[in-house]
Amino acid sequence: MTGAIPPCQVAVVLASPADPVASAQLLATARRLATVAGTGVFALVTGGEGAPHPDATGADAIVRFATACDVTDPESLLHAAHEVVLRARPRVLLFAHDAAGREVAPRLAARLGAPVITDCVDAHIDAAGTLTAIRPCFSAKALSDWSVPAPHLAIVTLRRDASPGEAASAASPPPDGGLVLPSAPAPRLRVIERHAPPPGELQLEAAEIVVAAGRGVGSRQDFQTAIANGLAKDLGAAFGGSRGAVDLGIVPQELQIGLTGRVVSPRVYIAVGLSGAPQHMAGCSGARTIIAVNTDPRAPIFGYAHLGVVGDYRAVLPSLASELRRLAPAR
Amino acid sequence: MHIVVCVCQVPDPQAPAGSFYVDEAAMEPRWSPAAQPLLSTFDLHAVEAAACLKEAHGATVTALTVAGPEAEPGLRRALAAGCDQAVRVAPPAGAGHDRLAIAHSLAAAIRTLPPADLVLCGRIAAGWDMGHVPAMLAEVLGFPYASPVTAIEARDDGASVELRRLTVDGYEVVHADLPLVAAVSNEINEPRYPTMRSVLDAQRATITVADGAVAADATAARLTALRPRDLSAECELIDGETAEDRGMALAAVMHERGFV
Ligand SMILES: Cc1cc2nc3c(=O)[nH]c(=O)nc-3n(C[C@H](O)[C@H](O)[C@H](O)COP(=O)(O)OP(=O)(O)OC[C@H]3O[C@@H](n4cnc5c(N)ncnc54)[C@H](O)[C@@H]3O)c2cc1C
Repeated sequence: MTGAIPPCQVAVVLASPADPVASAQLLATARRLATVAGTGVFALVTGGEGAPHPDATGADAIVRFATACDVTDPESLLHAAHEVVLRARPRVLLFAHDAAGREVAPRLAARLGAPVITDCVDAHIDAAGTLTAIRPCFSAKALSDWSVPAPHLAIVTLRRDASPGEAASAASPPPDGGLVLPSAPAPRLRVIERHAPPPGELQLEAAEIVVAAGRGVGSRQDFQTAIANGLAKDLGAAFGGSRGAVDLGIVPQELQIGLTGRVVSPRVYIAVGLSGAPQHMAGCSGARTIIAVNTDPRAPIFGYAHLGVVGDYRAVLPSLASELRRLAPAR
Repeated sequence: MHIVVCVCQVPDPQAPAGSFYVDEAAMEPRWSPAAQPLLSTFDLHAVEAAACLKEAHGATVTALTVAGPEAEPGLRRALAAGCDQAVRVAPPAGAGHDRLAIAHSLAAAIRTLPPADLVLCGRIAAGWDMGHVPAMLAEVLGFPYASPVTAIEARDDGASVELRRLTVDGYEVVHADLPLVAAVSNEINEPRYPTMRSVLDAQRATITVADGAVAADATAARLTALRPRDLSAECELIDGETAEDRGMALAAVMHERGFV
């Protein structure tokens, strides 16, 4: 069953069909690592034979399950990744740092006794073959470098937007690598119900402008009026919130931004009524411009923001929104 | 039911930003005394979850940590919040940043206790921000794993639980047979304040100290640099008489700079 996959390669796990940008970034990073290491890239896709799977353009070959596996089930993904490592012996195994990657990478590392470096913003390989990956830590207040010497396998999860603008250059989708994995064993956890709100118009991670609400927004209703149907709508922006806002039910949990939430790197991040706790800033430190609206001039958020308005957002946002409409009526 | 809650102490994550700095030469974080060591927030939620299960169904709850004696106040906090006993395992020699060595030490300690039906952990501890230990522990123990868990209920059969776990865009309701490792998130509960009585009892309780016989794994990734990251920005404050004026002025700046 094996054969077409030469050893010493960079393997990419493509498990999030909904996020083509993350897949493309993973593949681009993999290609860069493989070029230095003088090897190739193969992509592990979790759809069965003939099933649709994320675009693997940029990889040299594809490895897949014999039958479809549930990409939302971390245990089957773990099984697939484990099989890939045992059969193809890649040097580097890259995951996206999404819900699945966060769980599967450390589990796989424990299963294999292999080093794992998660939530990385960059990775490279030097001439001696040492892989070094860089990850933020201490709520993004520090950066750390971690290395794994050749020929050891390194398991790495990459944060989305880790290398913005990087794109795979190859034009045509890769051929099937000939390695077909057996199906995963029956999952040990049985999913009884799934609750997912209808997908929003804008994916938080893909948004150019994000408006984030904090505890200071006060209520869900005020949020709806001033942000969801107000500023964010006018700007065509995505919205999310701090844990303070989630705790008060102002925004749903799945829109929490931060260390234990989602990580965004928009062009403009507008922080409304949030104090700027480091664990929150860990989720938006990649934003190019941060704008803060807060009643408290001493709020830590003003230490991170490029533009700030001291004042009650209930007064600031409506006038901001109407003035923006006046200045750019075309929107 | 025997529930083991794995806990650790961290410097107060809510301490003012200036209390943290990096010793680049030593590749170590440093904190001013303002950042007092506390039981990690998510671990407090795990302790509370165990206490709730114990109240509802009856259980023995063991708090377990792999750390030096400086972590004992955290264990006493866990005792005060409903754990019945506390075990501290000395960290494996030379473990450094090797989370797998910690997971092996926890697993070795768990195997010396009465069989664990449920192992609860906090989903991540503030600090190095890895969150690897719970997932690794599940693998080392060979237990199934659920994370991040926002609700957990024992089922009538006494051998399984129903839980909620967060997904990227919502949550799932899941049935899991015991034993299980679950990493809990803050949405699961509101940790109670311990009563004066329970705090005093916890002060007097004996903490079992076990030997961490597990050796560190030489294959872990090696830390080669740690440097501070200055996220602070020069904030340009928008002027204006009233908040409405400042809102309008902000619009003008955003428009002018092409932010919209
Ligand atoms: C391990 C760990 C992980 C964490 N993970 C996350 C995470 O992923 N994401 C996250 O966000 N937090 C996280 N936290 C929590 C974080 O530390 C803070 O507690 C949280 O971010 C605070 O939310 P907040 O800024 O909305 O609330 P607060 O800190 O209460 O701030 C509210 C702000 O609103 C302002 N305000 C009030 N009224 C108004 C008004 N009318 N107009 C304008 N401003 C107003 C106030 O001046 C204040 O600055 C984590 C904590 C820990 C320990």
